[in-house]
Amino acid sequence: MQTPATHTVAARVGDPDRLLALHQANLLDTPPEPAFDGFPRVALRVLRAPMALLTLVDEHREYIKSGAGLGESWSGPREFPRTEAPGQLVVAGSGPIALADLREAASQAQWPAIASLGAAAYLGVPLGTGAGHVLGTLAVLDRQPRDWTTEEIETLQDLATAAAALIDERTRRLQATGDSLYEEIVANSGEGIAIIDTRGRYVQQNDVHRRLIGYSDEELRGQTPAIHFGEDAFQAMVAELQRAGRYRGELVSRRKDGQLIDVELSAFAVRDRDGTPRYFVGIKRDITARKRAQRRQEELHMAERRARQEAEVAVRARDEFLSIASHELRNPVAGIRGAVQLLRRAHQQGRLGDERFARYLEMIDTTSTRLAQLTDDLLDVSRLERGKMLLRLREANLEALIREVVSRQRLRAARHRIDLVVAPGEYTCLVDPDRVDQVVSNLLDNAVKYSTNGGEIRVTLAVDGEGILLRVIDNGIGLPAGEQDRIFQPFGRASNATAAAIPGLGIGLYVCRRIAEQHGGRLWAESEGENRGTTLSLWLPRQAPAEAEQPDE
Amino acid sequence: MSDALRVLVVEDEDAIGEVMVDVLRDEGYEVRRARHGREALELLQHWMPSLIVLDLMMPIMDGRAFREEQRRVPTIADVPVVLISGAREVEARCQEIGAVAALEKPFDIESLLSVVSRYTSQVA
Repeated sequence: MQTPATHTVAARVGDPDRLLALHQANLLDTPPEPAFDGFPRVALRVLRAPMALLTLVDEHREYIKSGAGLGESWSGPREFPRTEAPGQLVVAGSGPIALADLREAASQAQWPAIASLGAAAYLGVPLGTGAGHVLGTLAVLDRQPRDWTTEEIETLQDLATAAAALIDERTRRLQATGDSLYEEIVANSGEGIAIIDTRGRYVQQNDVHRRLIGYSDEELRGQTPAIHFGEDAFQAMVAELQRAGRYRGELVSRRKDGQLIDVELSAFAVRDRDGTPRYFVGIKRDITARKRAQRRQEELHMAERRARQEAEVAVRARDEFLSIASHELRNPVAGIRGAVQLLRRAHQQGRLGDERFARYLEMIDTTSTRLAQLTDDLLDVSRLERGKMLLRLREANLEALIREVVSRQRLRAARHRIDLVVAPGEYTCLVDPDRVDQVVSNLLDNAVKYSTNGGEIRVTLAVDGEGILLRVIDNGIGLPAGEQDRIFQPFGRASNATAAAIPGLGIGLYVCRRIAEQHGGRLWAESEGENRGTTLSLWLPRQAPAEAEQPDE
Repeated sequence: MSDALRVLVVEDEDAIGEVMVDVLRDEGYEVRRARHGREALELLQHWMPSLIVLDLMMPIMDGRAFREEQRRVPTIADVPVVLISGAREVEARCQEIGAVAALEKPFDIESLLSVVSRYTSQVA
């Protein structure tokens, strides 16, 4: 008996087209069907054999769809390993296989599956479909050796043709109605399902998938998911599927119309019996709405946290202000009260000489002036917070004004030397002279206050473009990097000033900058760093804008 | 009055500092004044008082930092300190820095004198 070589058998049995036809027939691993039970029964009677089988052969096994003569309560194996039964030869050769005597030990060893049924002779004929694929066999078995006649072989073939016709009919019906479990699931799933081959090309998609990604079946032909996920995401996904056999992720998908949607993708590999991936199935769900809600929630959280932080900062700033204000206001009050009490006491005790009397009066005068200044500053801040600070514009000579401020300051700063350098030029301006005096005094006060070790303070005045530029340069504690603007914020103070406990409310420069801006000018600070001095520059236009002026009442 | 009780006033605010110095001198104390903690520590190297009247918020070295330094130097660590401050919650500050008493600014001369006399007499 001539048999094809083993590898040829495997190749023919494993022909993908044949296997596809076999799967489409939906006969494997299915419950017994009376429609097929008839064929082995008739074969058994007509050929007067004790046993008959209708089998289907895939790449790994010969599956018994129905059998006759196997015993009333036959519960033996529903399948044989492919290589242990001769059905594979029928399939590979597309023709009958007649084995007359299987009693030899060699035959028993070659076909242990049918030997186990007690068979001594075998006749199998192909179940060939209309499309030309052999799906399995119709076979009869005898317990005695038997020479199968041509007539018997032809009879069995006729029967097999009828069985194959039934299988064809059934396959057509399945394809027409989509009436298989798999088709049902894919078609009716509420999720987008698509199948891609191992190279990532689309094979199939369901309606939901089509609507989700927005491409028709024709448009997807030969395409990969890169068309809507982008190349990088696609490559990562395929790599993971090849490696681990599954993939889960949230991806952004671009629909054909350009709209971006959030997709939750869960994909897995469908493998051969030998473990080689054949297809990848991807299940996609539109999570755009969920993601949007999530993002909105996150934004809300962020906004809330920001608001809370701002509130905390505000509370801290207020606390700090209150504690500094408390110190700044109580100190002069304590000084004045102490001086007054001392004045009275010394007078009562008869110890109040002229020197002490004059000294206490001077003390009260200076301190109350400072208190008045502080009160004015606080009122200015309060006014600025409500947006009201209007100017009384008058023609004034800034040079004269600044000389006056400088000489006033020299009297108060015995430990500092204040130099004034005025470049030749015309310094007549239209400004609010009281406010400019306030700004320049404040700048000089600061220069003195923040150069704790004394030293030289240089004031320069020069014409600069359409305006006038004043600089106050000290050799004091300077400004830490990045704090040049902080000192102009309400209650903002340089960290090194706070660290050194130099008293101050942090409102003077805030008020000064607002006054400068109200004049249409600018006020800014420069410093090369801590302990490297500070330069404050005030630029004022020759003429403050008219809208800054306070209307006459 | 070579054996007069000595009081060190540490206060940056001139008006308050001068008033305290004058009042205490009028009462017969020997008084020195420092404008901040650093100056006070220098003075304490060669001049030992019975009591220190200490302001809290001062430039260069504030009252809190002064106390930390003071406690580290055995010879001056035990000199009692009266806190005098315009800060809020003076009593709490007083506890924090371990002062024997606190005066809140603005204060009466009489209370200053009674506190100073109480704590200098204990020492004497």
